[in-house]
Amino acid sequence: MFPVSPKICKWPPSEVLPERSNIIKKEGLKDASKFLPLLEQAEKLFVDFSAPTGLVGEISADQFERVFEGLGQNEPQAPLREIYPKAQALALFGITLGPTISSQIESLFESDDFVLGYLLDCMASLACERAVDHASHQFADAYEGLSTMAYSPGYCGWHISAQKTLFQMIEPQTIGISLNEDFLMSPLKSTTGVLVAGPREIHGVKPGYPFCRQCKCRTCLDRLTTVQ
Amino acid sequence: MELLTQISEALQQGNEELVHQGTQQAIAEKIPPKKILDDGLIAGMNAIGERFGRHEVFLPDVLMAAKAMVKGMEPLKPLLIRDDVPSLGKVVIGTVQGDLHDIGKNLVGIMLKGAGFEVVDLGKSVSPEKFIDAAVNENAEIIGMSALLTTTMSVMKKVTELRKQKNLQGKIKIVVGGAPVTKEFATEIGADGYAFDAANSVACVKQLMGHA
Repeated sequence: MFPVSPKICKWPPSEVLPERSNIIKKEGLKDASKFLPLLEQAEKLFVDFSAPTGLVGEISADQFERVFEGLGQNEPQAPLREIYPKAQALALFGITLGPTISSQIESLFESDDFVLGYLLDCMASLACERAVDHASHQFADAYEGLSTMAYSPGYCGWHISAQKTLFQMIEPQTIGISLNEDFLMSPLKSTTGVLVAGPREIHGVKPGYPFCRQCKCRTCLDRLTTVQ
Repeated sequence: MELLTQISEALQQGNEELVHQGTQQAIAEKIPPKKILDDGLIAGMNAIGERFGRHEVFLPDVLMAAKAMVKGMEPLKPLLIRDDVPSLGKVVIGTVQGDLHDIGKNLVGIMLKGAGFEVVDLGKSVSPEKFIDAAVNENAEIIGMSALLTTTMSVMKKVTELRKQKNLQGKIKIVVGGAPVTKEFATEIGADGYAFDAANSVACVKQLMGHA
């Protein structure tokens, strides 16, 4: 289905391990020294139990249209509908940290070690984003001068049911990601989406859409500031 | 400083060792277990919960305090059971069917326990029938449901409908929360409460049970 077969990427855990300062900032750890031993422990667990793996496959705008439309449940004003036709290159991606890190987080909560469990969970979520950044940079290397940004089903009006068509196209099962009937991915620390490469201005989303009122994350603005 | 205040302050600092020592000392000084729980441990959790609500501290600080509370409960729990000290109430919690994200639900459980509630955690991907049956069998006053996916939010409605079918509205209250859940959605499906986050879930449950 792809003009070129999707490429599998594996990163050493230390390469996607988020900067400690990012976790401190994200979690508002005012007295960071109090949490330092736990952060060190969480980092060690992350390195021991995560297996960051990605799958990236370039796709044409026509092929992406079918993925994007999914089961026809997108918001009428989903910004990606305006963005992707202006892109100069598109690639689907699937990224996972593997199943063991999620089991590790779960067992920490079960044994009442929930501060460490929570910090490891935050670390893993940020690591997923970092792995997407790595995949994005690798993709962007082939398109010098273009700005690349990742968009995922379930965000900004792109309905999560599009996961179904995305999975049919790129088959993240090959790196161990499965999808259930509610479009939930397993392992939990996994992410999928499309990398959109084009002039920076095509990514100009402003959070004024009707669905933005119910959005609690509002990460779009932060993400936009990182687009180069 | 009075011993129970010291326990409360140590708990807010997340100092497990001091909380454990202080609780043991309070027991040795024959302070009634319920008083140690209410004026030491729960008072500390309430205080840090309020500071969290005012954005003075963040979730890891609250979790550190909750961990210290677990440590303080170790010597206290057998005495509370011996004295038949009732909890503030019983809450059945779970992540709805189809959803495997449970960090949020776990945090709610930790916060509710810290506030003095008894928590029955049904885990992940819980069916509507299991929520209702567990609440009935456990004689719980509240069902707390969490969902992270828009596609699994519909299960929450099935639980409120099942409660209605079984005429349990007056007996069991329902609180919903999770990233895609809104106050409007909670009202629309007939839930009794909406918890914006884990700390808010405590206030919401307290209000529904008349402890506010």
